[in-house]
Amino acid sequence: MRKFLFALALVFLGILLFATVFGPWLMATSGLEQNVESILLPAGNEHLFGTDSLGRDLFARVLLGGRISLVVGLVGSLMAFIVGLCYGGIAGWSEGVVDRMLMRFCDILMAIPSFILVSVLCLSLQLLLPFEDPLTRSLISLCVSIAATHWMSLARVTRGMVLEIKRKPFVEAAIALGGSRSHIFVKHVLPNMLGTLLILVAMQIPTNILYESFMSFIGLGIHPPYTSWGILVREGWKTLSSFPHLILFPSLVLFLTVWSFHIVLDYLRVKFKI
Amino acid sequence: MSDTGFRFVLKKLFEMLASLVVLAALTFFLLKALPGGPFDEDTALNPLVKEKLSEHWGVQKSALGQVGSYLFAVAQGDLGISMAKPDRTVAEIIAQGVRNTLVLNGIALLCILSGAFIVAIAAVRFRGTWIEAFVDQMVIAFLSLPSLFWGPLLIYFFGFYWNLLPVAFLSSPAHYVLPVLTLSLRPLASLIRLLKNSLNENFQQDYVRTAKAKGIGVWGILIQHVLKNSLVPFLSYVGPLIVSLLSGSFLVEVLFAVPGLGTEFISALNDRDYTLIVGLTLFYGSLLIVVNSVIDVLLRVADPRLKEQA
Repeated sequence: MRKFLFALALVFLGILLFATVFGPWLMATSGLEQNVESILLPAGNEHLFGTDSLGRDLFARVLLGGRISLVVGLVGSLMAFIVGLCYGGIAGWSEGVVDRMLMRFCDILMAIPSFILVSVLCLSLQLLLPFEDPLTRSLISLCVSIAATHWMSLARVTRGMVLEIKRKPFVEAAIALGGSRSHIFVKHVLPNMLGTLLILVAMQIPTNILYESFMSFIGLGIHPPYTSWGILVREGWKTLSSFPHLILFPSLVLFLTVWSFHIVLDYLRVKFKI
Repeated sequence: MSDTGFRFVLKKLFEMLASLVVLAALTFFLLKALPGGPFDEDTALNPLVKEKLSEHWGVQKSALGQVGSYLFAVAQGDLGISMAKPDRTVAEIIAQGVRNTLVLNGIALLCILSGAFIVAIAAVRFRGTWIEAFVDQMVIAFLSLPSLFWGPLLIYFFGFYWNLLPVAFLSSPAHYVLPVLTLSLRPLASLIRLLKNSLNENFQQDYVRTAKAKGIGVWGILIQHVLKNSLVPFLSYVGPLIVSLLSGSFLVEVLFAVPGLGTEFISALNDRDYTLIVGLTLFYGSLLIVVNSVIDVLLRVADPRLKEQA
């Protein structure tokens, strides 16, 4: 049962990735051009998910929005990973006063509720960043604000593992052989914790996707005419009572994506005992 | 309380104050830096409001003096005047919304706690059967259930399709059903997972074998012995649980048009009502920071084993 669900989720994620990357190029409609003659059509053969109030094909828009949602999920967790790895690596490697100060700062940041921090940071970044293109600006501010509030737990785990690995005989041997600090860190410490860290990082991807949809839904993330799953849900929300398919399909895809991520990661976590 | 205990409380107190100062400084920096903020030259703000604000925050003083007077004012609970609604103070707006938010979250918290205990104990009682596997899979599914999907789905079916329950505002007990359901599901799933792991771990301890040998039934062992020992990880999760509830409450309040703090916060973000944003950020932040610190201290009092570790 677990294995079956794991395979199913993996297949879904694979198809989703393929469709969001190549779909918008392969499809006849881009999901951006409006068409007065096909407004608010229900789901059917010609339009798989139906069309929205401007006559745009919803299936194409879900794929187009998926690109942005997935990019925010991946880039956001990658950024958090890099910051967490460096911060935790430095803390664990140096020990003593530096370690204590760095970790105390980490605790202080962790005590601030991340939801508030993300929204306030995202709003201010959107207003402060000097990019002309609105899409670049909102993408960067989303990724940065999500990463800035989610690297702390990764830093703590990294620090713990660095402390543990440092005491192992093979690191002592490398030091005795005259290996430099950076050599030991990259060649001996890093490979031994990379597996665990990568799974922890991957666990942030579904969270980030949810954050993106939340931010776009409340009007802080991506702005129309660009689209993401959050924007699609926001548009569907306005017509919930009369045209529920407009909110059903985007939010269903959002749910299935997050669910698949969780199933895959849970399976891996149990398998590798993390 | 022992010496280490006293030092622990001091440490927590320091951490709490430091978090609050970081939060306040950050919000002050944002107030100053944002274009269109209250102290921006080009702000199209009602001159009366602007004058009141600048008098309020001491704009004429030096930068350090400004931070000082800002922190002093905030420490007194004075959060200034709303920029979007100049006739009301931020403190008034918070006082108005806080009741709805707290009642909604309180009910959700009670539902989550009772639900999680029942499901987790049942799942551990029927270990290795299909019930446990089912609970495991449901937990993962619920954990991934975004309220953006689940909320509108509930609203559509219960509110419009079957026309069973009201879907907006909080004017009668029936109004609470859907928002509480939307709000509780994800935190409930994570609490079930945590409790279940903790119960399972304790179930393999030696004292369980002793109790079994004495002839106590499985239910008795679970409830009398194992549950008591599994409470510590549960207690330490109450803080994060409250944080995740209040965070989820933002979206739920918007979806169900609850006149609470979450709705105020989101409309403040969209109106660029900086003073209200800062006020709510500080309010939420200090509430959660204080709650978490108090729970940490209580936990040390409740479990002597934690004291020895330090």
